[in-house]
Order: sequence, then C-alpha cells, then structure tokens
Amino acid sequence: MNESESITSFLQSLSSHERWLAGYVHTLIPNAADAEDVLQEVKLALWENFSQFEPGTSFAAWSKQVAYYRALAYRQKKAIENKRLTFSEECFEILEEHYSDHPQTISEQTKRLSKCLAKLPAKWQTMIALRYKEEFSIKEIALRFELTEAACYKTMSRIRLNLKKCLTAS
Amino acid sequence: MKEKSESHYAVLIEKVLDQQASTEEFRSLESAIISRPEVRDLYLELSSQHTLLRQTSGAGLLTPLSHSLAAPQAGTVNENLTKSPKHLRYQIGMAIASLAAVLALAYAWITPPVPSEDSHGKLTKSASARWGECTLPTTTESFFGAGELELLEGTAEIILHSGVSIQLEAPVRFEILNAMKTYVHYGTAVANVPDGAEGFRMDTPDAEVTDFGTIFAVSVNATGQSTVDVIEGEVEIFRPTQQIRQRLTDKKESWEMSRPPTPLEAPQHFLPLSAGTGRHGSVIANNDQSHLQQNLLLVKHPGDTSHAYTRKAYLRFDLTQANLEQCRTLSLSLNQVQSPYGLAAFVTDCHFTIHMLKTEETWPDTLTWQTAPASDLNNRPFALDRANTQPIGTFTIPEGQQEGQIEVPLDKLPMNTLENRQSLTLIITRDTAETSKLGLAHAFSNQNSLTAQEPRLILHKH
Repeated sequence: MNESESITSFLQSLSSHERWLAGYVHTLIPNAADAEDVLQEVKLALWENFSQFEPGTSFAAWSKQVAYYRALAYRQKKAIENKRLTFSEECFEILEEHYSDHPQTISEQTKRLSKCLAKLPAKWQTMIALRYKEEFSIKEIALRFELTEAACYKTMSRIRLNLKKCLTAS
Repeated sequence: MKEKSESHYAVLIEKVLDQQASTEEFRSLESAIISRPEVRDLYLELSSQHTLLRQTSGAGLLTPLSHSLAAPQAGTVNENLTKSPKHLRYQIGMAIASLAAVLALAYAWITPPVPSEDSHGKLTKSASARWGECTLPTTTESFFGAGELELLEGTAEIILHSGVSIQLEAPVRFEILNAMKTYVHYGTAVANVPDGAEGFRMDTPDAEVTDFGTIFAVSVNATGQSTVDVIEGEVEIFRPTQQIRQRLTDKKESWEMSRPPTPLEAPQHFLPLSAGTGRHGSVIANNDQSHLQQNLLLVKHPGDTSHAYTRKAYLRFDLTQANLEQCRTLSLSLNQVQSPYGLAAFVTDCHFTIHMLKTEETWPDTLTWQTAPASDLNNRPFALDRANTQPIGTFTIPEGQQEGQIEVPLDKLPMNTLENRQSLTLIITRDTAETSKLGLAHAFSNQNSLTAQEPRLILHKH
C-alpha cells in the first residue's frame, strides 16, 4: 500500500468509527474537555501505528484497544495529580467490557435519537437546545428557566430517561 | 431497576457529565457501576446519548431557539442553519483539532473552500480576534454571503468578490449586504477599493459613503454619528436626512457628520443616574435575591400564573446635579442588555410604563417588594400605590429584541412639579404579560454595568 492509499484507507476507517470511538472515550472519561484531548491523542496514535493494523481484521477492536490504553494512561496521570475525579481501574475494566462493540449501531441510534427529540415537549426541546446547541451549563439553564440547579438536574435527567425509553421502544 | 432508583442515578449521571458531581456523588456512582449491572447499563446508555447529542448538536429538535438567545435566525430543523456562532466556532475548532494531527499528513486531501454562488467575500485574516454576535462564520478563509460580524477585540480583514479589502478594528459591528455594499453599525472600518470597484458603498446610520477609487476609513460612534477619513483618492458622502451631498478628497480634512444645530437638535444636557445621590434598584415579588443582579435593572410581568417572579425597577435621579431652568421636556435614556433570566421566545411586543413617584420619599437601605417606595401590596400585579405615583411615559420593546438603546419621552411629566425637588424617582413596569412563565425578564444596564451606558435623563431645552 503506498502512502496515498494508506491515507485513504485510514481516513475511511476512522470516519466510519469516529462517533463510536468518541462515545467510548467519553464514557471512560466523563470530563468532556479531557476526553477530547485523549481522543486527539488516540487518533494520532492510530495514524502513527496504522502500518501495524492488519487489513481484514476489526478496526473497531484495534482502535478500542488503543483508546483504552490511552484513557488508562490519562487516568493514571490524573490520579497522581489528584486534579480530577476519575473512574477507578476496576470501573474502567467494567465499562470497557460492556461498551458496545458495534460501531454500525451508532448511525442507527443517531437517526432514532433525532426522531425521539422531535417528540419531546417544547420546553424540554428548548432545554436540550440550550445544552447542546448553545453549550449552556446546567447552572445557566437553571437561570434561564428560573429553576434551582437541583430541579434543573432532575428535569434534564428526566429528559434523558424519556429519550432512553423512546430509543428502546423504537 | 425501580423507577425511584433509576431517577436517582440518572441525576447523579447528569451531574457527573456536567462535571459538577461532588467526590462523594462521583464515588457513589462509580461504586454502583461496579456492583450493579443495571446502573452500569444506565450509565453506558445515558453517557452515549450525551455524547451523541454533543456530536449532533441536538439535530432533530423542532422547537426553534429563535432570537431568544441572539442566535442566528433559527426555526428550521436544518442543523447547519441553526448553529450559533459560538457553537459554529466550537464545531470548527473541534473539527480542526480532530483532524489536524491526521490531515496534516494527508495534505493532498485538503481541498480549498469553494465559494458558493451567493457568497460575497471571505474572511482572510484575523489577529487577537474575539468575536461577538455574528451571523457569518469567523474562521479565516471561510466564504460568506450577506450578514453581520461583530469584532469585540483585535483586528480582521475581509476581501469581497469586488476586490475591495476591508480592515476591521475592534470594537466594530459590520454588515455585508453584497460585494459592493456594506454598513458600519458602530466602530471603525477601513476600505481599500481597487480600480474597477468604484461605486463601492460603506453606509452608516447617518450617511451613505460612496467610493471613487480610494482608501478611506469610516468610524461610527455610539450615538450613530460618522467620521470619514480619506487616506487616498476621493469619496462622496450623502446625508439622506438633510439631502446634503459632498465630495471629500485626501486633500481635505476628515469630515465629521455632526449635525448642524436646528431647533429640533438643540444642544442637549444629560443627567446620569450616578450623579450625586442617584440610586437604582430592582425588586421581585418573592424577594429572592438570586433572581436579581447588581448590575441590572430587571422588569418582568409573568401574569397571574407566576406572580412571585414579577419584577420592577427603580431609578432615583439627583435633580440638584442638573440645571432644569431652561429645560422644557425630559426623556429617559435606557440601555436594554442581554438578560440572564427567561426566554425572549415567550414574550410578544412588550409595552412598558414609566411611573413617577409624586413625593420625595426616602428610600430604605435595602429595597424589597414590601419596602420599596410607593408599594401597595393589595394592588396587583405591580404593587404600586396609585395615589402616590403617576404614569409619565411609555415605550415598547419589539418581540425578540434583547439589546439596544431606548429613549423614552416623559411627555406626561408636569415639569412645574420639579421646581423645588431634590430628586426624581422613576419606576419601570412592564404592562405586557408573558405568554409562558418562561418568558424573558427584560434587563437594562444601571450604573454598575461595565459594558453599557447607565440610564440618563436627557434635558431638552426646546
């Protein structure tokens, strides 16, 4: 495989696994900014080591393994620095084991999620829009809606459970 | 999992994802993930949902955010159209960061952006730029059509398809109408117009500036008055309100379009709120101070459904600081600013009333709904003692407007009653109830505001 073919192959593999891989890293590292940093490292590591990837084998399994060790390294570093709340190694292992191994389900899920969002009451849609389009924190949303933060967390979690129910049903 | 338990863990997960969980809460969730498979599955599902929503910006939402958040005109399901500048920058930033490591190596793959048919130019440079409210992309090399750019800090360069290059110097709000016509709302823009682009226009609130092959600078101050400096060549300046047309060359001095005195525009004097013993305050019916802010005057009429959140604003001007002798009329200048409370989508055009306190009542140190001057708790919704107040002016804020300067003529104010007064207390109420209790609390700057002018009384001598 020449360099151009290698780049093509890599970009194709990465783009079809990107959302799934991001979901995996964010699951292990709930701090979004840190998760994004780790994700960049993972992508770079995947490219740097792409020559070791055997065509015909599972890119998902390979990239998940690379991501797991990068996330673990991050966890150990943060644990030493004691600057972040991170999941324990035991928790990492459990989440790693049970995270879906099927990247193809993500695009299906995205479509279903989109339909479920449209079914939410208008107020809930506005809250989701503030959270994800405008990147408001829960505190900022609470201010907008004249809610206490606790009430806002409760409402947001109800929205999530409602979406979960809708996703399962569909 | 039992519903109660599921709700409990869903709230914990929400806090963890928002990075607001305490150590105890974080460890409690972690322990449950390890020991309870149903909590583990719940975390995996909700975390995955959270990541997908982040990645798709909630595509599928039908409720428009509309102008309530000063976002670009939304209202469609089209994901790209509803992204706010803030989010757009985030997405672009993320996309760049995401691919930088990889695509730097795959340089051959990167195709330069291609202008669409309706694009008028592109942003070519920016330095130390911090952008405000923009309806156009703010990453360099991005093409854009008609829309506005607000540069809060730094400088930026735009090149239009007509060949005209424009330097923006913060703070500036600049609008592109097409490749030959632009508008400076405020701030400074410098245009370099090449041969072939003569006739290029850079208009301002009080003038139309047409180029005849030049480099020229247009500055608009906070009151909308313009100054034009011709660095090279010649421009024509037309002032529509006075039908004056004038040519300006680099040989002449800069031309400030200050208006000549006319009976209608006689010199004005101002009395700022902060002068002397001037004071301000906002009160809320439930006296919950967390719903008020020191740097804002807040006014809200939730209607009967949520009376507790009714707010009204108080202003006291120290009249000893102004010379009212030749003053015939007064108007009140207010600056509406972005409100942190409620949503503009849930209010229509809103009518406001300015009330005057008939007596010179002393204000208590702390204003509450009960202790504020002229309070009559039996008189809902604003608890105003009608016998001690008098409406002296009204104004309207159109639906969706969240910022802007407002001048309210106090035309019902009996000027003779001010003769022996030391102070004038004004109370602002909103007569229009919101359509939902999530409606906007209108906000105006006060003397604590760092970014907007404080309220002022304008003394008209005509």
